[in-house]
Formats: sequence, C-alpha cells, structure tokens
Amino acid sequence: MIDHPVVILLVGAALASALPRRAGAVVAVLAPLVGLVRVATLEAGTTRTWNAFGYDLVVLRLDDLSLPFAYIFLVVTALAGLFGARTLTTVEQVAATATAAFGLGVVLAGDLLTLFVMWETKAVVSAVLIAAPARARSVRAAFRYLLVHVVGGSLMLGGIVWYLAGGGGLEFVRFEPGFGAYAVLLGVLLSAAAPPLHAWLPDAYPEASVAGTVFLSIFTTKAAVYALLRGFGGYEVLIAIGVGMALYGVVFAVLENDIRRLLGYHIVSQVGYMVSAAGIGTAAAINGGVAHAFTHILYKGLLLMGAGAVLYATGHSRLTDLGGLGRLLPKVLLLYMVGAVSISGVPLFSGFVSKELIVDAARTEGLDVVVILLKLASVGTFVSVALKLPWFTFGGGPRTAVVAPVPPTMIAAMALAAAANIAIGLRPEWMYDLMPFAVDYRPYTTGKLLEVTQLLTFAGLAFLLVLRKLHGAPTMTLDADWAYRVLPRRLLARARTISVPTLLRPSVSADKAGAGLRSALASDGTSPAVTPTAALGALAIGAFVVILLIGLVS
Amino acid sequence: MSRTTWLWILVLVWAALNIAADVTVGVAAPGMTVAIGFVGCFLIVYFAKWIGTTLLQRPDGYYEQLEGAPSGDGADD
Repeated sequence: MIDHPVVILLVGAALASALPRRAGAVVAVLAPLVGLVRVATLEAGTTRTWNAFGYDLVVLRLDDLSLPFAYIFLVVTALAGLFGARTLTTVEQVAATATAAFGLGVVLAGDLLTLFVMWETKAVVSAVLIAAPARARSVRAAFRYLLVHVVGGSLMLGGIVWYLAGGGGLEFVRFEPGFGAYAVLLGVLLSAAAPPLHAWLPDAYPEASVAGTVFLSIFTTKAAVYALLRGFGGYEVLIAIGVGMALYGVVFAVLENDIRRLLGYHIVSQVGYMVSAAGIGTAAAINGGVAHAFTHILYKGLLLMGAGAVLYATGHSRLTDLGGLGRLLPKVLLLYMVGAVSISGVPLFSGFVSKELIVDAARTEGLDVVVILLKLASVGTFVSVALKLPWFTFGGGPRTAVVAPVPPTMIAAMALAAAANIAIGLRPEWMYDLMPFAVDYRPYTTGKLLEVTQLLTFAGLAFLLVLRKLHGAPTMTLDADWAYRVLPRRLLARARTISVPTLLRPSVSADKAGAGLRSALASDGTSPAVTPTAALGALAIGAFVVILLIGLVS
Repeated sequence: MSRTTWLWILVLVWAALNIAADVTVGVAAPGMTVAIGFVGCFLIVYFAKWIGTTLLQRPDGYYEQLEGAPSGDGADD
C-alpha cells in the first residue's frame, strides 16, 4: 500500500510537516514528481482493493479516464510547489500536498465510498489551505468554503446511500438516473461551481496565499468534472447547465475589479465547457471534456501564477490599484499572456486544441445553439482575460511600485507551465494519445483556423470600442453568496421585529410592572431577550428540514 | 464618419465575404463567426454593465462592513 500514489503524497505531507520550511519546499515539489513516476509505472487497468467495514473498497483504479487526470494533477502540483517554494509556509506545504493527495484519491477511487471519503477530506484540507494566511478574511472564507462543501458532501452521501438502497452498485460507474443519482449530481455540481452553487469559488480562492490559490485551482472543480464525465455522461441537463456556466462566468468577470476573482469567474466559465461535454456524453465529447480539463489545469495554473506574481510584487490585486506593470514585470507579462491566449483558444496554444474538441462534438450532435453560445463565451473569455486584465494591469502609466522582486522560482514555474501550453498547442497528439477514446480530430484545418482567428480578431476590435466601459471600479459584485451572507441577517432582523410584539403581548397583560423592560426591548430589536427567540425559530426550522431529509432517505 | 461606423461597415463586409465564401466554395468559416465576435463582445460587456449597475454592484467592502470584518485586497505575502 505504501506505493499507492496517494500514500506517496501523504508521506510527502507528513515529511513537510516535520522538516524545516526550506526542506519542506523541496518535498512539495518532489512528492508529486515521485507520485507521477509511480502512476507512470502502473499499468493501465490496475486496480487495488482494501477490505474495510465489510466492503471490498477499490482504493486504486487506474484506467483510461483517470490516467490523464492523475498525470496533470501531479504535474501542475509540482509546478505549483515550485511557484510557492519561497512563499509557502509549512502549514501550506502540508495542506497543499494533502489536497493533492486527496484530489488524486478522487480520480483513482473505484468505488463510491472511497470517492466520498477522498472528496470530503479534500474539502477539509483545502479549507486549511484557504485559511492558512490567517487573516480574518481568509479564515471567514475558509469557513464558508467548508460549510458549503459539507452541504455538498452531505448531498453526495445521502445520494449514495439512496442509490445503494435502491439496488445500485458500489462501483463508481455511470449512475442510473433516479433520486439518489440526482442528489449525488447536485453535490458534484456544487463542487464543479455550477451557478447558483458556485459562489464559494470566487469567494474563497482569492483569499488563499498567492501559491495556495494555484493549488486550489487544480483540484476541486476538476475532480468534479472527472466525476461528471465518469458518473453522469449523457445526462442532457448538463448541457444547459454547462452553457449557463460558460456565460455566467464571463458576465461576472466583466464586472470584477480583483484580478484573482476575475480569474476565479473564468474557472466557472471554462468548467462550463467540460460540464457541457459530460452532458453531450459521446466519445468525442468525453474526450473533449478530459482534454479541456487537462489544458485548463495547465493554463489556469499559469494565469493564477501570473496574477499571484503581480500581487506578490506589488501588494495589490485590484485593477483600480494596478497599471503600467509591463515595463516593471516584463517576464510576468509575457508568461501571463501565454496563459491568456491559451484560455482564449488562440491557435497554436493549448486551449485551442481542447476547446474545439467540445465545440466540434456539439456541432456533430446538431447542437447549433450550444455551439454559438460556447463561442460567445469564448469571446467573453478573450475580452476579459487576454485584453481587459493585461490592459489595465500591465498597460498604461505606472500606478504602483514593485515592492518585492518576483523570485526566480516563480518565473521558472511559470516558464515551465507556459512551455507545456505551447507544446500541447503545437503537438496536440501528445495530449490526444492520453484520451480515454481514440481521437479522430484535426484542429488545424483552414476552416477552423479562419473561424477562430476571425472570431477573436473582431472581438478584439469591439474591445477597443467598449474599452471605456471596462475600466475597473472600486466596487464588488453581489453573487449567489448573498443568499448565505446577507439574507440570513435580513431574515433574522425581520424575525426580531416580528417576535418583539409577539413576545411582549402576553407580558403586557400579565405584568404591568415590567413596563420598563418592555420599552427597552421595543426601543431596539437587539436585546438578548429577543435574539434567542429568532435563533431558536431558525434552529427549529433547520432541525425540521434535517429530520425530513433523514426520513426521506430512510 | 466615426470610427465606430467604419468598424461596423468593416464587420458587415467581412461577414458578407465569409458567407459568400461559405456558399460558393464551401469554406467552413461562416460569417456568423464574425458577428459573434464583434456583436458578442458588445452584448456581453453592455449586459454585464447593465445588470451590474442596476442590480449587483456595491461599494468595495460591502460584505465586510455587514459582517464587521476588515476589508482588503488579499495582499498577504
């Protein structure tokens, strides 16, 4: 069992916790590389079982679908470790390596119980990674992240139990549609950041440290994509959800002033392509989903490294505070732009050869509206990530000084990620050979090149005309997290105003001597005597919902 | 004529040429692509701005103010 790739990473995490920070940084790079070698030496089709709780749990299943995910998880984990070699604290090194271990565990899980355990443990260690900077904002965001994922995990567990009770097997294969399957799907969609269950992502990722964000971007949503491709291929509802995600992300990115939140919204958008691919469900679409997850991990890692390098160098991440950094950080600009053109699907870069697989799969199935809407999302991506962000961050006059030089390890990690993006763009067959099904697709045809070139050229022209609309503003944008950050406060406040007279009415007749207390309660609704009433009410409703759910499941 | 008008003319002519190429020699590069690129950019930006200004945007630190937490831009390293 010690040679299980997940165990290798966990040993790495344990080592990092025991070693000094500098040695831990070396471990954070080496552990995923050792894991990568181990995965590469395992034969496709390898399975390993472990008897626990009376079940034969398949703790390792390496097949054609899990292999590309395992490879890219480990490669980009090593790159993220290199990127954070100078900045990651010991706690982050441990949490990041453990997150990688459990993220890998998800894609190697062969049964539903192992999947669930890996899934939830990953959420817990990811929360530690978010909270690691120990700022009030980080800790609060980590708590919200954990809360949301516990809800998602509960849905998943409830769904699994329901599915098993209904005669479904423990093996993690495509779910037969039913209530249990849809509950699991909901839990997975929450981790995939499908609106309106997505707000945890732009809320939490930017609160981690510069390298912590890169680690986080690798696992949660992509593990969910893996689960969708394996468990829910051909669920047509996912096509609409995916297209919705692709467009939702780009609209919110236009409004965003913080560069890491902007890139967070583009994770939502790009994952939308993969969710659509799962919904289409054909061999070509599944290939497209896997390929796009593969390239997305690479180029999104690179983009977040670029944004992280800017934050590290200047101490700022808001567009309104940035500007003119192209002359001060030319290497960061150059490498960031490789990621930006990759995500935009510019020919010769990685995103082009993966995104077009999905679009082509949709076209082949006659989903013309889906094709148009995915192209529209492409335009939004290009405008925000490749034009707006670099224009206002690196262009114009200097608005901030570089207070810390970007460490060579950061530049080296970005350069390696950029090289990988270019290599895949130039030689897509290297990636296509890893896909679960044989790829019969040629990305470089005259028609496709003309189409994409024109799409992006004319989007660029339009960008020049709408430039003044895209200036950052010192604002934030309400999102679905309003429902759990603001709404409960409003409801509580409302409950107080309702409960005060209700509480007081009997006491008015019963005890006239309590007039002073009553007037004190009535004058402000924040009296401790009132708050428990509302809180108890909310608690009672919550308990009722939980009991109802338990009753339904049992 | 303004720069915007010239650009619109360019887009329309380009789209027409594409459609003509698509119809006559079967090059799979329909003029629709140009429209999606150009008009799509306008659509996304204007829609986002409209929904942002009318419904979604708040002053920086809005949540933090409600929650009584310090605001900042994540500069931690």
